[in-house]
Amino acid sequence: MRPLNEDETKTLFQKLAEYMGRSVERLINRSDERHCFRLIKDRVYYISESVMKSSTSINKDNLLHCGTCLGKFTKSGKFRLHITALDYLSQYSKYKVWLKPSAEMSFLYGNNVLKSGLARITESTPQYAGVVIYNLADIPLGFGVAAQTTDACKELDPTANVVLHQADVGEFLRGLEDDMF
Amino acid sequence: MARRKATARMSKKKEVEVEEASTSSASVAESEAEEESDTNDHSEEEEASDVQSEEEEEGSDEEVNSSDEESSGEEESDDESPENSDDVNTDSVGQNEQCTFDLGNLLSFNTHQVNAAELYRGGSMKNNLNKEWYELRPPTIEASKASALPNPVNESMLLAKAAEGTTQLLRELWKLPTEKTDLGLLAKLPTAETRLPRMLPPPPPKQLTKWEQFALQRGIAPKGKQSRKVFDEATGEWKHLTGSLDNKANAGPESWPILEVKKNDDPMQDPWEKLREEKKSRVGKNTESRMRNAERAGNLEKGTANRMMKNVKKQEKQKVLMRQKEREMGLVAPVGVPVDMRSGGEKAQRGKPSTQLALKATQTSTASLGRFDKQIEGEPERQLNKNTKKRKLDPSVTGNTNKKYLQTEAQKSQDILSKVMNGSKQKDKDVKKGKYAKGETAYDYDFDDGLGSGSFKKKKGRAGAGKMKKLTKKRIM
Repeated sequence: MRPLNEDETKTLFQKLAEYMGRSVERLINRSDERHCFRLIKDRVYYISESVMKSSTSINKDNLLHCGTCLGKFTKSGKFRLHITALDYLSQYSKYKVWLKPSAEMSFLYGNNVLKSGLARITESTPQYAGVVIYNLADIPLGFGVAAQTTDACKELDPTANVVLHQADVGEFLRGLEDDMF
Repeated sequence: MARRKATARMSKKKEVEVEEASTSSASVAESEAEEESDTNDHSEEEEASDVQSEEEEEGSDEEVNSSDEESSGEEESDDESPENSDDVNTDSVGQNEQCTFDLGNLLSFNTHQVNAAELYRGGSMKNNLNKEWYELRPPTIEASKASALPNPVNESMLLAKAAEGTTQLLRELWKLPTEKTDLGLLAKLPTAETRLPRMLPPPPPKQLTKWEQFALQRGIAPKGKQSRKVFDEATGEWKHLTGSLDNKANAGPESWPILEVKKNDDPMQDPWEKLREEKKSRVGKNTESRMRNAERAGNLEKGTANRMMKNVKKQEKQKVLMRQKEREMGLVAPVGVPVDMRSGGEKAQRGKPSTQLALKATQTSTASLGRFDKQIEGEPERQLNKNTKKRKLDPSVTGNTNKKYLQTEAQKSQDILSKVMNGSKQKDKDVKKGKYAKGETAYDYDFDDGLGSGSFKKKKGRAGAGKMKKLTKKRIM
């Protein structure tokens, strides 16, 4: 377990900033307890100070996870967010998308969101911005990337992609990525 | 000019012959020379014939032209002459102007003054009426743009002057002595007379070194080139004057096993040590003087020589001090002359401590510093060096849980975040370099841009580069 070095922190913040914008600061400076980022074998964990202190007393080989796993660094140095980060992303997300009930199941199976399934979308979403997807009951379902800007979405066919899927809550059951948990 | 006029008279007669029968090129040259006289009537015809015959001459390898080509050329020009001589204002064209030549550089200079009125006459309709279509069109692309200017220049006149100059130059070239080679007939150009100006500014004059200044002052001649090898009488070999010391020939007195003690020498001093020290001082002095010369010349920043000298002196002092300290502390065995023979000054360290130190020194005086040597029975244990510095471990490696560290970590992340959000200069540079994927959008970062892996390496060195996998059909995706 080690803290992130500068380049890694930069990559992480860039990725997070796509979803949260300036609110990444709130992750660093929290009102209740200070949290920090730690790396265990290429995975980035977001843990509180007290948890971190106690986790140092566990043997390195036996320590699997601690805190919240935000994602992992790939072999080529890129950072990939996991579904386990949804909690924090949904709290601070800038751009949101709400799905119709008909499209919910499709998205939870890992498909992209079509225009026919789109209920609502925040205004002035730039193209390829990080987007968090909600139920009409405001339950976060996952996150993805906006395929078009909000204005362009209005002029699309019903079968065109609006949001490109990146992670959804259904992955917990599907266990798609073997090395995620 | 007198000579020319004589030939002109002669050639007038000959010109008649030229038109009818075949002639040598020499006479053709003379007939062309007539153009330089002030006869304007046939000037246009002559120029035309001149140009044509020139072309024919260039085509042939022999000096003597075939009769057929010439006569045909002459006949053609005959047809043209009645039309052209009346219309074109031949005064303006520079037939009369004799050029000067620099054949070495293939230059012809037309230094006659240009009639300004003629030059700026430009496109008045009167002149254009009787001209041929190819005369009306501007001769060059630039000229067509130039005619749009407020003071259009008479491009056709300039072109005519240039053509005249070229023909005269070619004529002169044909007068040169020639030689026949496998490439064909070549003219031997004389040496170039005009000096062409420099393309780039000249290099600044070199600063003389201190020695060179002194030599100049005293009138000492420079040494001159030395041969690389010198015959050594003693060994009967040719030895290099300079070169690596690995070469036995260059080793010098340091390699001799026996060195005599001369009158003034201290018998107790190590002569090889002395030689080494002398060489060191010589080398140091040499580098210092080179640096000072470079400084004076401006190649080196002022003050570097002084800084270097200071540094060197400081380091040497430190070395000496360190050695003294070690000796005092009893960590190092006394070197050089054995204790008994030393003549006062240093405290004679006889007995157990000095023996122990000597033993320690011998234990480590092998190639592997005594690590893999076998111990003899009864030999005391080898003492490892206690003076190795303890490395200060990075807090990121050790458990970093203290509050202060966490505070600094939070601060650092804040700074990084501000850089990320506010678009640091470094990022712009990296985007330009191509470190980021093509495009600035979020989605592009997961795109495989084919540029290969980024700079993140999990392991150091070759291990970080990853395994090289054989490129099979399956992997070509």
